Amino acid sequence: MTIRGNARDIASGAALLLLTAIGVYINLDYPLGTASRMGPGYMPLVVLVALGILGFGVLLTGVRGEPQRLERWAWREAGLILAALTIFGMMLENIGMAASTVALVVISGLADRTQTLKGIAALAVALVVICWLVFTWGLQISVPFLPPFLTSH
Amino acid sequence: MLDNIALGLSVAFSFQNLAFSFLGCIIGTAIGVLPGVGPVATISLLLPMTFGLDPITAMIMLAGIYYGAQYGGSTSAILLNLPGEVTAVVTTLEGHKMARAGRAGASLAVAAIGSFFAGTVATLVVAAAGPLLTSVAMAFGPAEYFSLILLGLIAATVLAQGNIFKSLAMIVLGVLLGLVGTDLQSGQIRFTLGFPQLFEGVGFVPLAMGLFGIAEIIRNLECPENRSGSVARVGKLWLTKKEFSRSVPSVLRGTALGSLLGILPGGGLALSTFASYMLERKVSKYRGEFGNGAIEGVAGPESANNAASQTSFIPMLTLGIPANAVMALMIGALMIQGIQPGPRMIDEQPTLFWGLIASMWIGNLMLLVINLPLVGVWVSLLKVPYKYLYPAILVFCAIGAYSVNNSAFDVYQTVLFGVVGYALIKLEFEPAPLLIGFVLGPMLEEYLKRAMVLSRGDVSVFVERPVSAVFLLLGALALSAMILPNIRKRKNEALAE
Repeated sequence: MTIRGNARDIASGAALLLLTAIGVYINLDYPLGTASRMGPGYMPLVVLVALGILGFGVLLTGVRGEPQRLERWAWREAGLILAALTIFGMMLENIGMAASTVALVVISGLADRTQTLKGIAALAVALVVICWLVFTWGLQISVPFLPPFLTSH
Repeated sequence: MLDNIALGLSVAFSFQNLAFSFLGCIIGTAIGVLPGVGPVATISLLLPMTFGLDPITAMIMLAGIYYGAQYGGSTSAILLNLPGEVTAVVTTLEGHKMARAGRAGASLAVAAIGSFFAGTVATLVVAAAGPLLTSVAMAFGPAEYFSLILLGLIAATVLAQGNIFKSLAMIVLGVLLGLVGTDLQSGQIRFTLGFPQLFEGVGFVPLAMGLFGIAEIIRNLECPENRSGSVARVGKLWLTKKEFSRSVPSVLRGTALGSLLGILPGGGLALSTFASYMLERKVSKYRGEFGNGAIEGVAGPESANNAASQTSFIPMLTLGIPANAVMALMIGALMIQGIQPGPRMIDEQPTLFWGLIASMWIGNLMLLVINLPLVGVWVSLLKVPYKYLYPAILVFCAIGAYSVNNSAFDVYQTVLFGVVGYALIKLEFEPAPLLIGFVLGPMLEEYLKRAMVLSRGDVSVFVERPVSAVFLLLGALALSAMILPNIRKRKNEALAE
């Protein structure tokens, strides 16, 4: 199937309209109130209507626009960076800052193909030291630095 | 005014504030100089570090980071031909040409001196205009505020590039995101999708970091050409007599233009640099040198840029309305500190208001003093390969996002907004208006509700009150100025077919 028009705008418009539909559906649960005594659902509805109109406008300009394809996405890079951050979030409280930082550096480091094993290792060590200095010693944030099961008896 | 400035200076000259202003300038320059990291990303990155400080110290440090990042951006624009953000684009035009011709030192020097002069003048403008505008704003009722915020939101899209519907959609999406959480009047919990962590709303820091920090990292990894190049040699950091006398009028013109345009809501910064460049090219006696490294083309825009970045504080400090994404970040920082920016701030927080203004000037002085001698350090930073840089930025983002509420959920929010930010880049949306909408959204709802209660549900209150009507009219004009050319263009295209 070929789509004519600006695929980026068409996709954007469709996404905005989908978002509007979801928003309106959720907003059904909230009382609208009246214009003089607005309920919690009033303002969101106004905003969602505006979003829907704009989404439609984007869609329309896309259909009529110069043909342009969707840009390729860097799935690998995006996936690695986002996975690294998510895993960091899951590890931080349980395993401590040192290990989570190493995990974050190693996983995100894979996203750059020119990176070497040595480079990652050196970076991980350097960042663990800096994080200890800045966050544990300097700002004294309440995150364990080493794995808690190692330090507590 | 003198009393107030004295008060401000006494606040800004306290040891703690001086130290953090210095720290902010240094860190801001260091990060701003890194290619591919602009002021907005820099500030979002460092925002969590300021939360443990007093509000005034935090603001002074953030302001230092802001100017520092701008100075740093000019440095990489001149030496590397890589503008960190829109406002530095103009600097590359003449600045990098000068660097190629062996006059990088002169270019850096004129940028620093021009910026310092512009910053000094603009600080005085802020000190004078602030109280004036505040007294005007005190007379505003909810209807006026609603219309003013609406105008601010529309203005935030004026300079956005591309499809106007898309920039407006970003604003509206930002407003919608701002409504997530507990409705203060009814206690109704809205759009939290069942996550209790969202009861207090979407996290500001995760939103800013994800949209600007994480998304940019993915983007930079994708397009390696955005972040490397050969660094020009600096040479002597001095201006010849001729260069100096050629720069003086440009600096003056740039300062005036920037101070004026900076107050405008909606990216007056970028506008001021472009306007100044055009002006210099028109009036300069050395018109022929433009495009080949004319010093006026650095002196004017750099001064304009710095003046505008100073005066863009005016709407933020007096009305609580951000003129650009950086000011949206500043408001976010203040609100996390428990301070609602607006016309009351000058009376309720005079030390904050005047201390911040005084520190603007001190920050500019520090940058002049530290930047030129330290230029060697910045150059070596420019040479750090990106493959070592981005994991470090990620680590600081992750720990920073976590530390705001000590919550891993905020790290996940950062991830989510990173995805959103990357999708926005891919679909050619500009994320800055979203942040402005997010900050202004709750205020918009609040003032709409209040105005409608007062008018007993009669919408005509917004056009019957003259000040409010003027704001709405301006907004409508701006909107039609943006939409009409699009329509006319399309009509012509249609007729041509």
